[in-house]
Amino acid sequence: MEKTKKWVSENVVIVTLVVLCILFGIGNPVFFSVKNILNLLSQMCINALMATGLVYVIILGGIDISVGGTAALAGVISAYVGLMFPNMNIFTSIIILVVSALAVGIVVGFLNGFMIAYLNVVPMICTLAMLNITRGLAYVITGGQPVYGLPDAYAFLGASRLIKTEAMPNGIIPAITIFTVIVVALMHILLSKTVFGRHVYAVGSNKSVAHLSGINVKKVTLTGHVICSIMACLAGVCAASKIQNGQPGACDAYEMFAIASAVMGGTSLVGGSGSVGRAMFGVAVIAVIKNGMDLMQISSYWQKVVIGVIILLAVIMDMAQKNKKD
Amino acid sequence: MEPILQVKNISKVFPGVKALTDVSADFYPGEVHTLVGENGAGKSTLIKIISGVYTPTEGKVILEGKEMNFTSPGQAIDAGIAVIHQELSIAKDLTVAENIYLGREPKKGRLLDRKKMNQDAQDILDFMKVNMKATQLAGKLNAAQQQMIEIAKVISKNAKVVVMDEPTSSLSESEIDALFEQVHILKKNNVAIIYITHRLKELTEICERVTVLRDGCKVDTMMVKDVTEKQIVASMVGREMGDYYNKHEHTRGKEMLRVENLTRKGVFENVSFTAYAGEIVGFSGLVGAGRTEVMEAIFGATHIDSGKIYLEGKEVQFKSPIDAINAQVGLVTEDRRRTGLLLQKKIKENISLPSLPAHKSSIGFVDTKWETEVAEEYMKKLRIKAPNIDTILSTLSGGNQQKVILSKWLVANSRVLILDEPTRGIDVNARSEFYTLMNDFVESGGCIIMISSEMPEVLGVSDRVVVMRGGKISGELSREEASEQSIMALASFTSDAE
Amino acid sequence: MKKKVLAGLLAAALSASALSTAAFAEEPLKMGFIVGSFEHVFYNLIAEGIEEKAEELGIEATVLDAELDANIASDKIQNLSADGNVAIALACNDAAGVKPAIENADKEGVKMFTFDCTTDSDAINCFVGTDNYEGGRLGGQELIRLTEDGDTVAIIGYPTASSCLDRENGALEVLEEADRNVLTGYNYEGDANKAQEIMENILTSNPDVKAVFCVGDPAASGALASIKANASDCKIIGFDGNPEAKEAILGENGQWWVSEISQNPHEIGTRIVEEMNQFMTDGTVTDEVIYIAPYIITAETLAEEAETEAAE
Repeated sequence: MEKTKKWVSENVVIVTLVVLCILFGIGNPVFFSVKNILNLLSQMCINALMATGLVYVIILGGIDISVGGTAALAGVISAYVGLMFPNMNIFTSIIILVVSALAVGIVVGFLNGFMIAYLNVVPMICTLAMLNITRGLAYVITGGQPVYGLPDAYAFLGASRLIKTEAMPNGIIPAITIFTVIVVALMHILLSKTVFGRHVYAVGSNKSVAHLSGINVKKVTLTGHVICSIMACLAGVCAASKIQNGQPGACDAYEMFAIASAVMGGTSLVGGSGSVGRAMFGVAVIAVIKNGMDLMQISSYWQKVVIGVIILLAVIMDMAQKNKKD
Repeated sequence: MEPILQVKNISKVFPGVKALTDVSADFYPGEVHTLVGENGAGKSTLIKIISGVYTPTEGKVILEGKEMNFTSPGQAIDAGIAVIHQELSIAKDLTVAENIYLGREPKKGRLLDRKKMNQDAQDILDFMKVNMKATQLAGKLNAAQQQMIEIAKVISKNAKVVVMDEPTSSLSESEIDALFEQVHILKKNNVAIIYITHRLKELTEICERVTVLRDGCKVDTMMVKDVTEKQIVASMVGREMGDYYNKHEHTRGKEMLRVENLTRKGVFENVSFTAYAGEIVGFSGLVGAGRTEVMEAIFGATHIDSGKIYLEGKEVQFKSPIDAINAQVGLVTEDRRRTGLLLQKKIKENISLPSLPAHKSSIGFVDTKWETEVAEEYMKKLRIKAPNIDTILSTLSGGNQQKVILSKWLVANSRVLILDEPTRGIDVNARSEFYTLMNDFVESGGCIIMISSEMPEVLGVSDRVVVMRGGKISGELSREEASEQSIMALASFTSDAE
Repeated sequence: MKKKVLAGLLAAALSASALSTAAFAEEPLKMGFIVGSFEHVFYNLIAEGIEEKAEELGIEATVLDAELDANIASDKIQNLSADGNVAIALACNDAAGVKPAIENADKEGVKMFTFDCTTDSDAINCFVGTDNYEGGRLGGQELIRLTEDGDTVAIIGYPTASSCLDRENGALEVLEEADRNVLTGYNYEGDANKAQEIMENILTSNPDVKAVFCVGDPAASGALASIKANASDCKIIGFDGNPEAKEAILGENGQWWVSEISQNPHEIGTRIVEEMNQFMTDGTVTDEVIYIAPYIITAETLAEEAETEAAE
């Protein structure tokens, strides 16, 4: 009993997720249908990619609120690149998307990281400025119009489902889910198993200690921001691929969902602790709320309220747990 | 004389631990009553009960003959019990007066009566005979002056009982003298002072009565004039201590670290010294003499303007701590909580931190098998008291935290260890153990440079003493030459020194 | 090509100022315009209409961006007024928020006009906009045309934007009479990806949905992606009339995206300039409220259009 209680208080986000699923399952049995579960798995991918990147910078003790704009920029650039290859196949389309994401992510992440690590700009301000720059550029290069007319292969990564059966002729597993699982798993391992990951935690826990223990604090911080921007860009190209066009206004305000997911998954905003794996539970909670309420046809106004309340509750319970420890 | 405060048969049980067992003590007005004991002996629990942070499981707190049932610190403050914590609670952007009256500001109608507040505060400061202005910004003052603000607060509250928790731990010798003057003033005003310290030599200077706690029980209350320091130590640890510093004769080996004319403008100038294998070089001097700054510069943590550093005769350039660590130099910093440890991380993660890059797999993975082995090995070797290597650092005592830091540099194969105030805030037993570990290290061919502001420690541990003053080396004393007088003569500014 | 819009604006502004400094015999009328946001194709098309007409009538036009923010819009009204514009027209995306600034400018003697969306104020001499409610009715009619009695249809809305709310309500009014099961209450917030998820969820909970009315083109793009991935034959009716919609209807996506309620932003732009010009000349407007009728685009209408163009 005592043990169960302890587990519950340490895993509020998992409990929240289970409770929500049960409630929505009762509200509309379709919620637990295979089809809906698969929908959910694809609907959480964009936020999952973004939140993964944010886990890195939040553990480093920083923040990146530019991810929404960065994602949109990568999305429209990948769409323009896609227009240059009208005969692309599935394989080349993935290369186009990933290379566009890497290119934009490295540039934006390097700028963010350089200003934060080497010029000591406050991360909130630096990335706020970058949010405007990237979002603005997305509009400038598109003139405000979505980039459309992309070949179907462009939509493979975002929209297609693999393993087609007679019962499910449109395929079962969303390609975007496989892609996201692979990327997120790699980023989880990078953070939890490697020396670089350890250095991220050390820098986030205490910069002076890290410096005096022979860690190149600036380099680690810079790398963390590059990772975050690359993840945001991967999210952005997936979003573009999903709807087969590049929207300059895509992923607007997604940074808040990504930050909330990371924090709900136990990532500490003061830095030093958190995990990519646990952040995925936060991602799942947000996706389940949106999906479940759509299924129950609950007014979209309430979705905002409910998401806000759930985030607050999760964070309050998490803080209560931490205060008890101290 | 009647005691003003009494604790009677106090016991305190926390889930799984009995922190205090049947402790009774009387505190008299105009007296300093010191609580001594190793970390974990129950001193903090007792003062937290007196100041209303904890309620006792059994027993009573009696103030001026009346039984008190404090359920919050606020009630204790209202009753006239004030606490000066080890970590100062000064709002740096407020003035001295604003700090003194924080939360109790004098008002004229509904507005702040700034004039009265400044005047009252100045009166208190003048009464204390400290040279400070009530309108100064607190953040511009040094640690000792900030402590004066805390004392002024206590005086302004007309406290009858003042608890001082290790007030001298971050002060230099001269600052301590200034603090003691204030203690004497409080005494003259019939305030009862409950004092906690790890520095036993302070007892004879200001203290009348001493109560020794061990494992949550009271061992004895004694009048300071009747006992020796050795007897107190013996009752604290429960056995007769031999040589407290475990001083060994070391044989000097080859030259390890040589520093020539190291200069950083405005901080230190032309610092030159040599340290050899198999010796402990003590660095003495007043706080602010530039010792810490020199060591940080040698370690590559801060830059130098000019000068040369040689390791085993070869010139080296440490552009960052990474270079120093690769050359097997380690630095144990002065403030272990701020710059020494990852407090929220595990023992093993702290121990392995500087050595991780040397033990990673080809694709950058942490060698967790090595990490576990080495952490367990050092936990055993240095007798770190903790449940296991996954214990979070913040839950360890100061002595054990310091052992973790030492392990970290031993695992990194350090040959030269720079220790900055290595035993600050550590209890007697743990200190003694730490000195043994230092001796083991130099006897196995290592070299230690130790900065210490505690004279007995410098004298008891060092093979040689280098003294700094105002950013320069003012002299070097052999073991035989070194004494409190000879060191102080070199450390302080006398009329002919400048 | 998209860059051209901005570059064009910049060039127009520069040449206009060059003209004014040249001080020709007759000073051209100076008029200011504030569109909702240059980030929307729709407003860019209005701006094109404005500039075209202004050039034709010899009016010196300044077109600014309110960034969909009432504060910014208010500031820009002040700036335009200070800059000597005799008349200002703006899109009141936040009706209450810009009202004080409009009335202030009116008191200063600047003639005020609105387009696309308006606010309730006597200071406004004329409003030119799409009849969004009527557009919504057209959308509802298309939903009925494309489905049969007893079928399920859906509306992907954006109820926090008043024009989009009008469209949704217009459609609901028409549908009330028809025997259709209507799924409603969704908010895509102008985000195509959000619309994609909403459509996915609709298709899961109601796989038999036959047609969906999207109150904006981004919603239609998102819905299209979901419908294709689910191999559903649900039909899409879009709203806006942006080039991407036309291309979709004519292309292979035309099997799903069959119909579009089109606004006429270019016409809104030219018409407001005409009305302002008329008002400054003789003090009258054609009507205080002028609705530019939305119209339905389908593959057939586009084909006809192409034919007439070819004939010309």
